[in-house]
Amino acid sequence: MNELFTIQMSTILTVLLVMLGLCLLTVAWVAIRRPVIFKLGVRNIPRRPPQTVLIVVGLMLSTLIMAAALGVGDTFDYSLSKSVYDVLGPVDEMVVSAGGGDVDPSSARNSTIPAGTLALVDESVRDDPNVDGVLPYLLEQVPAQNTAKGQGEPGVWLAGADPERLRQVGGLETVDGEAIDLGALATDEVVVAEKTADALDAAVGDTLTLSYNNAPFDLRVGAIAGDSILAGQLDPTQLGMVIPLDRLRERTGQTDTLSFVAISNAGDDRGGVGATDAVIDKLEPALEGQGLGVAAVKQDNLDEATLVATAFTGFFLVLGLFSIAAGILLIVLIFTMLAAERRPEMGMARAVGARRSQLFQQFVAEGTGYALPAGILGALLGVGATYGIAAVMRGLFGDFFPIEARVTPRSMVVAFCLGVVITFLAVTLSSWRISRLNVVAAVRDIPDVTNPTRKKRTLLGGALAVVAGAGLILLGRDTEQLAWFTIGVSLVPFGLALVLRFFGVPSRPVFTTVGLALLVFWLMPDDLFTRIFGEYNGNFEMFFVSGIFMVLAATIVIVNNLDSLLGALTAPTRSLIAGAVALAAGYALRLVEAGSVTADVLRLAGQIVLGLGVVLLVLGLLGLVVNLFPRVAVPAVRTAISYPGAARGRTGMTIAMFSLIVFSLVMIATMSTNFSALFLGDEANAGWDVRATASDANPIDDFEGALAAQGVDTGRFAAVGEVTTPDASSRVRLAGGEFRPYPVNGMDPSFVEHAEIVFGQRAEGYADDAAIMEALRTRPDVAIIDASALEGNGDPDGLVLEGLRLDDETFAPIVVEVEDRDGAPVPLTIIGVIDQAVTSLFGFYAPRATIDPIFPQVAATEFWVAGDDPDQADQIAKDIEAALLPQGVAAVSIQDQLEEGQALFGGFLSLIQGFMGLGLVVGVAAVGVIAFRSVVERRQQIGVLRALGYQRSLVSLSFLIETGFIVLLGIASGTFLGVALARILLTSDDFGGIEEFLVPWPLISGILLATVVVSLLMAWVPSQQAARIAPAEALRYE
Amino acid sequence: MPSLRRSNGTNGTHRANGSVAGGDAIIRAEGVVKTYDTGTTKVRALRGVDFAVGRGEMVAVMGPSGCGKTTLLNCLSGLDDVDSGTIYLEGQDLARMGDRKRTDYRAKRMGFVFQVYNLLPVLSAIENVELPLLVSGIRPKEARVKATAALETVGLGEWAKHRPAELSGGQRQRVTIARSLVNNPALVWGDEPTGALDSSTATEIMDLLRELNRSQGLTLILVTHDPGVGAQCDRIVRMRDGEVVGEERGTPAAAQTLGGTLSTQVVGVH
Ligand SMILES: Nc1ncnc2c1ncn2[C@@H]1O[C@H](COP(=O)(O)OP(=O)(O)OP(=O)(O)O)[C@@H](O)[C@H]1O
Ligand SMILES: [Mg+2]
Repeated sequence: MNELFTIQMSTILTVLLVMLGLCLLTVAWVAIRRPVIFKLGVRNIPRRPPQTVLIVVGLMLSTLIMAAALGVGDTFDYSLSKSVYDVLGPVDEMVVSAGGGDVDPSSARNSTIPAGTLALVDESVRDDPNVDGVLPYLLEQVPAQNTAKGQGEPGVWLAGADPERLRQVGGLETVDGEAIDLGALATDEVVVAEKTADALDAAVGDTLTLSYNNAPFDLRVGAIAGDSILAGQLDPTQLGMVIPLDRLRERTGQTDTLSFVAISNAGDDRGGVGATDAVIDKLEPALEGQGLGVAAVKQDNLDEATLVATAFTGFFLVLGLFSIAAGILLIVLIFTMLAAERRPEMGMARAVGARRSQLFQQFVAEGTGYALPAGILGALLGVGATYGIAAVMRGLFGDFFPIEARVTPRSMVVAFCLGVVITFLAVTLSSWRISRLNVVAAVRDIPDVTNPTRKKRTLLGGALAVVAGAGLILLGRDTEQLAWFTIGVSLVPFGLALVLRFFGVPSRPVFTTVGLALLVFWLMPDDLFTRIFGEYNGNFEMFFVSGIFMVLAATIVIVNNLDSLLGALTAPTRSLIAGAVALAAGYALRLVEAGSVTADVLRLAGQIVLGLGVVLLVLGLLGLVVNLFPRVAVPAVRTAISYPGAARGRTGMTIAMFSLIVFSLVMIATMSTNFSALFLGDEANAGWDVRATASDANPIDDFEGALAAQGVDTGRFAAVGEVTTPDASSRVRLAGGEFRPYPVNGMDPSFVEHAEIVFGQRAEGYADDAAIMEALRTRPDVAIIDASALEGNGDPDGLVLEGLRLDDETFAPIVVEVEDRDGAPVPLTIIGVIDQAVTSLFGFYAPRATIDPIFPQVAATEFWVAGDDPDQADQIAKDIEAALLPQGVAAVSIQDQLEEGQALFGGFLSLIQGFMGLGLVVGVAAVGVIAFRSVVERRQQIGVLRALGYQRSLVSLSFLIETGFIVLLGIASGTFLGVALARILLTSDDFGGIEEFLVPWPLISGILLATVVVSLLMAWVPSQQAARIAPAEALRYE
Repeated sequence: MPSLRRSNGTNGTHRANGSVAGGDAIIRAEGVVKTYDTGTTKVRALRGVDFAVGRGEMVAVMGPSGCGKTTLLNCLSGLDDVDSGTIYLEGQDLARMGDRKRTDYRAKRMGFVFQVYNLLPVLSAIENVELPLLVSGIRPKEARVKATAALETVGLGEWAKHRPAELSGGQRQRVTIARSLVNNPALVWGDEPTGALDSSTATEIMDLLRELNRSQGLTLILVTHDPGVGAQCDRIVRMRDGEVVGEERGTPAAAQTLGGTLSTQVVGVH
């Protein structure tokens, strides 16, 4: 991890250390100059151990989440770069075939270079102190069978290497580090890479049957080498083995070609990479104009590793932001409550002459006392979380690269500093607010009276918010940034509300209106938003911004109407009527004819009113249920619902915490469910069941004939089509534009005939999908392309059909040019864009009759098989692979492959959800803090209740109901917002407008139920404490 | 005020005259000892108190601060446990009742006015008054009607929707009294019910209690420092240092001292 959000980690670290230093200096100053105050503050820490524990746990969570996010980055960085070093060993650069533009080292797999390249490279780096080795390699992909063990692999890279030159760079080594001398290998022996040996279950001495050009031959395993490019293993997902170059040349007859020339820089495996730029500068002129290029493989791969690691950290951090926000709320909540507890005490202190600044300092000292251990604990647990996440990821990604948990001290220090600084700031702010207490009110422990200065502040704050909001709106308009614009629009009504409050308008109608208006604004579907406000650019950060504001708006509405909402439980009839009215009003609004902006806004408002109506009805029904149990439920509910409304600050913060976390969880879960459904839809496999791939090392002319010869029943096949991939990295450009890499495929007539392809966009003149397929059958100059070429939908560095977007339906036919082997453009017309739902097709597709002349050499041929019975796909794939393994044919069930990919994606999302679920701990901690505090605060009141005849069980039940309601309100608001936002996003044209919106209710209910249960468990302990309060004692003391 | 009328229609005024059998006492305590152990010191708050109150009687408990009045009240009402001695509530042994039964008994048969901390600040006046009814299983609608009537009795019908913080000390105390009466209790405990009130309000409240005692046969045990309050009661029990040291007969007109032991002074109804 060297960078975060484009800022250098070292810079972040320095800034944070300075900030931490300032915080600690402040506290140290208090400790030295005002030791009494310092002691007064710190003395509070050990006073109530359970409370202190809860506070530390609450404070550490943000640190934990940040530490885990950074740790994930470290882990990826370490694991990915380790795998780069392992695979590449001494190799730093590769000279490969290149058609100009970027050099792609993977072209070594299907393109060859002249044998003379070696001399060329030797010549240009001779006497160069930066280079200590030049290694020629030839590759062929062949099938391999270990007959004795009954294991086979259709595609293993058989590499040819120069033993002498290999020795110069350190040579091959066994896994245990012993040297393997390739030169000393017997003529019928091969050195197999470890992973390949595992796949073939091969040990030294086993005989492997390989096949080249359909001629089988045997080689004995002479040694097993560590997985490395030197042993033919091109990357961690590939299989490889190596023999001396001469022998491979002899066997394949390719005496005058190579696949690549590897270059090793001076220095060890890790150190050599520093000289990469110098070596490339030296080589490039010599390779110029010969169809050759030099790729900085190690450097590029390492850069990419860092990039991926940074991306993952960013991703985890952004998703963790919800939890961090909830954590900050928790800190504020804790300190507000500590202040409430100490209010009379502090009032006394002020009365006898303590200055406001001294109270402030006392609180800050105490806060720091919690923050430091919490920071350490959080950072340590963050390491633990990183190891947990790494373990899960190892399970998920194990096939691609080995993940090893790693956390750098720097990350831990950054997380620690960040956690402590955030806590310190939150504590400072709360302390400042707290210390401004009214002495008389505090001593008598009655509510502060509103004084004129405070009112003036309201006006000032309101005006500021309006001005800031307006500024942000302008900034947003200027930069076309959605985030600024929407934040600005959201701030203005708040400001106006405060101004109205100053003029004495009651808070409930004002804030309810503001909250509802904001909800309408944030829940606006994309097209409506664009019609009203115009086009803006938003990114992943909008997820966070919209979440925060929607939760804020919903919480404001809830908190300002808490008595009505909860009152529904004791007065069900009223709320049933209100609910019915809301439903009717909502439906009426939905009847407004869609079309005009006003109408659409009204319809949206109708939807929100409908939601409110449902909530009221549900509460009303609950109220009816409550009334069924008059002796228990009615009194318990009566007391339970009165407290939250009396402490709106706490209630609001708790609701907001749960709402935030649940919102993010529900949103992610809903999105992923819908993506999965999209991914695995009926259209995904384009009407085919099995895909079998044959490489050019063992070409297959008559697929069905070859199968029949092996006794496979091809009668089960409904159709077989062929798709070819050319023997070169293909490039395509818009007419007149620049060539961009894009996979080009040729479809044979049978494939076109039998494929069932759905198109998302059709060229003008093609009324339906069948018309496009008909054109592909009859015209040689037309082509189709997958949806990732649409603007804003794929790699912006690849081919982009500018102006054609996912939400379009038709387009003027687009002429593109495919680059042939000689670099000449061949024009073709795109007449259809394959729908995203067809996930098995990727690239540019044209009839073979057109593609074959452009790329005479075929690298691989895919045979697409449709079976009579789709459930047989798996069996057919197995049969094909078993029969044609000697020819190196790999076959898969398309559905299985899609599902596997989906499972990986799903697993990753589950991990993400688990990580985000950490935030629920914040909410649960808040519930605990509040409940423990409430028991203390309400001691006498509980005494009164007990005297009036509340049974112990009723007291604790009332506590649990109270907690349950707050948690449920937060959860309900979060769920509503999460589902609503997911729906808006998924049905918007930006996502192609999915047809059926799915909500993963079982998963959501599971998460929510668990949350409620854990919260209630948390509240159970204090509720028992409350039940045990002895009435006589409670009534006597303060 | 129909809601406060007793179903058995107990009538009339009762004077402390003549002895009664123990069975007629609504509450009878013998040799009650209560010691508070704070760890460092032991406070003997009640040192063997004998005490009995007849049905429909209105008794004042008086004595210097710290003599054990509140403790006595807590112990006799079952809010606190005693170290030794026996207490019979309407003939039932309190020691054998267990927390559930005691709580139930309090809900149905007793009303309380405490020295401090009386109302739940988060509930409105009417909701506070309703609580004893709800906890006894009365339907919310019916409870609301009765609570409204009770509030009207104490002259606070207009203030039903106000929270305690919005009421004066006297008003709060009246809400408390309404709450203590709303469930038609047999027995009401008042720990300085008029302590926080000015003399004219205190008189009003006392008149109200006296009236309820007369018209409905409500038994009242009031702790007070105010001789005026004591004088309005049937009987005044004097305490000092955890012991009952004497009794006087009270009348609305003048306090009248009575000698003799407790057992001969207890006055019953019917
Ligand atoms: N929980 C307790 N722990 C220790 N001592 C207690 C406790 N409760 C009461 N006491 C002591 O018991 C004695 C009797 O207290 P009690 O409250 O009954 O007096 P009181 O007569 O009601 O006084 P006041 O008129 O001031 O209300 C006092 O000395 C008091 O300090
Ligand atoms: Mg007392």
